Amino acid sequence: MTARHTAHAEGVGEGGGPSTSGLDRYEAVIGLEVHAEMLTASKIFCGCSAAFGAPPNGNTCPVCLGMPGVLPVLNRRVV
Amino acid sequence: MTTLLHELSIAEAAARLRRGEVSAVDLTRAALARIAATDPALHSFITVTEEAALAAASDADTHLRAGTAPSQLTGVPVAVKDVIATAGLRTTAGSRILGRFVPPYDATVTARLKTAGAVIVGKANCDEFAMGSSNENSAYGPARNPWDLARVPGGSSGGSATAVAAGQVLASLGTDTGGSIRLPASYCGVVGLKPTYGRVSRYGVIAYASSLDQVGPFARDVTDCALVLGAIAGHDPRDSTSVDRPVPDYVGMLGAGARGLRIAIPREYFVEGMQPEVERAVHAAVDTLRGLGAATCEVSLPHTEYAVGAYYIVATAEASSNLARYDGIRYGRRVPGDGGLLDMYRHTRAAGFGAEVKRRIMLGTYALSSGYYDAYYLKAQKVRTLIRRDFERVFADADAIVTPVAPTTAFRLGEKLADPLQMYLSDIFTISVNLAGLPAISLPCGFDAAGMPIGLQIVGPPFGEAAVLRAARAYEGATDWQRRRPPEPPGGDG
Amino acid sequence: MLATLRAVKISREEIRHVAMLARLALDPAEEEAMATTLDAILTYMEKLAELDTSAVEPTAHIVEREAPWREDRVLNAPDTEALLANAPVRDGDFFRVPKIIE
Repeated sequence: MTARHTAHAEGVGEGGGPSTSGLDRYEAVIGLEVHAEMLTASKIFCGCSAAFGAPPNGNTCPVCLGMPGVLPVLNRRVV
Repeated sequence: MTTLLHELSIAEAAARLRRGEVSAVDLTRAALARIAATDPALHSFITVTEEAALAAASDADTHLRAGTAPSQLTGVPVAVKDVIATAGLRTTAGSRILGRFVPPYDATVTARLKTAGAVIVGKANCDEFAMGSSNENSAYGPARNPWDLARVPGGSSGGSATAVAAGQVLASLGTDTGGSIRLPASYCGVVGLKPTYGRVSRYGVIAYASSLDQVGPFARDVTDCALVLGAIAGHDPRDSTSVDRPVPDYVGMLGAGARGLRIAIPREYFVEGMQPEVERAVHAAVDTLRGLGAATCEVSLPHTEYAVGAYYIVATAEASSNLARYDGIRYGRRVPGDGGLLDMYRHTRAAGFGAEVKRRIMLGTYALSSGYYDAYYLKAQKVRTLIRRDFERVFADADAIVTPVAPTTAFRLGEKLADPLQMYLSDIFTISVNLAGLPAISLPCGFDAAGMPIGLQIVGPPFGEAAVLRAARAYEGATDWQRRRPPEPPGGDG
Repeated sequence: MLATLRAVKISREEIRHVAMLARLALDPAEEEAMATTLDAILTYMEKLAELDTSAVEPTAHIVEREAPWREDRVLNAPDTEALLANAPVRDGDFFRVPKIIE
């Protein structure tokens, strides 16, 4: 999320001096990055289990480890 | 006994195995002995696997005796290019970066050969990551052309070709991305076939350029080649680019002859600077086909001259992506460096990759980088479409296209290393075929004055392997080239 | 457009930038050699600019087909040992890596 300081001049009140309201001086620019965990049984590109809580590197295979020569096959449910 | 390996075709070996004249273990022992004796000179192999081969041969014998042999390949010694994964057996891709890599999986083509009962005796030498036209880019030293040990065998599947040419094995598998089966087949005087893209599974084949790579067979004659193709072809659910189309009986369809075949000769494949003997041999081959009843005509493939440029953008771009995985984390060599992760990546890859691989990664990365993607990669993919359309137009009225495989016969080791671009131009006649995804074979059609083999290329429409093989078989049947053998290598006993 | 891109020879800066993208450490001699070689190759490829491809679709796929799907089923049995066997540096069930975060 970023806030951009804009040169809106209309906030200037009488007698000179800048507007004091933050809303007049800054324009909020909001971006959202969403990470959504898919509720699938297997992973997106291979038949490994996507279950939570397995031992480290327990649910891996040559495909999801990106070993030489392997190829992904897309999980229908993910799409 | 090792002399048997020079004489035997797969069909003959299969017959003798079934008659009990020879056992699979005998045949495998003979192959291993010949390899031990001749490979110091030839260097066809990066890894030889004696124990596992003899065990597989023994299994094959059990089946043969019981009459349950799964195929004609049962008990036949073969080699597999070292970019093709073999479970439990070191697979290096001809690179230092995978010098100790032992895959826990078989490539699909490996598994299919094993199911057919073939005996894999070792991993064939090749250019590093299949990048090269001479096998000189192998981190393990080049394979040498059995017809003249001072010359290259061609690449990148050099060892796969030399192992068959020198009678170390009866067949082998290679891969072809820009000509890497057809060029060594041509330089070594054997038969090599690149199938249609999608005909054979790429699962477990170390990727160079994913939209171009294909696995294909090398053999001493067209019939053997058809046999091996039949064993490895077919849909694979693990390869999303493999096509679900039935595999024809390639061997059964071989005998149809050349009568009535419409053969096109593209004028752009006869260029200035070609070795005259090559040009003469190919024209003579066309005459032979005409004599067998084929109709021939001259055609144009106007975008041929743009193929090398388009290829070296598309292929290197895809390679830069495919080789990003070699990062020293999960497998392969790691060089620590002094700094953190980034430093490790940079030093690992610098130490593990050879010069040509680095060149192609750089070229591909550049072509895909911000500001250049449209001008290079996108442009090359559009030129690719134009090249495909050229072929489509020709195949509307022709069954096969006949051309030379290369502008020359095999050159000397070291001759083309100074200028990479010169090396790239060896692929000028083979590369368009990969861009268009078509099937094509190389088979011997003569020899030059120095005794070096000349190859004939026959290209078919998509999934037209049967037509290609049929034309090749007809030509082979009318000629004698495949009966000639290279001189015995040092250590050989022929 | 391609023609104007090649008006200037590929610079050492560009080589360094591309080498960083490619995660390759090149020494100065290699950078120099790479600049020369790449320049020669890219100049050759300028041929492609001769062709009018404004109305041409790029070849995205050689074989026209629908994307094949895999059913959402667990097929793989865990085999951590076999999969970690090739790890250059291993720590039990983990791949050990150099420090990432300072």
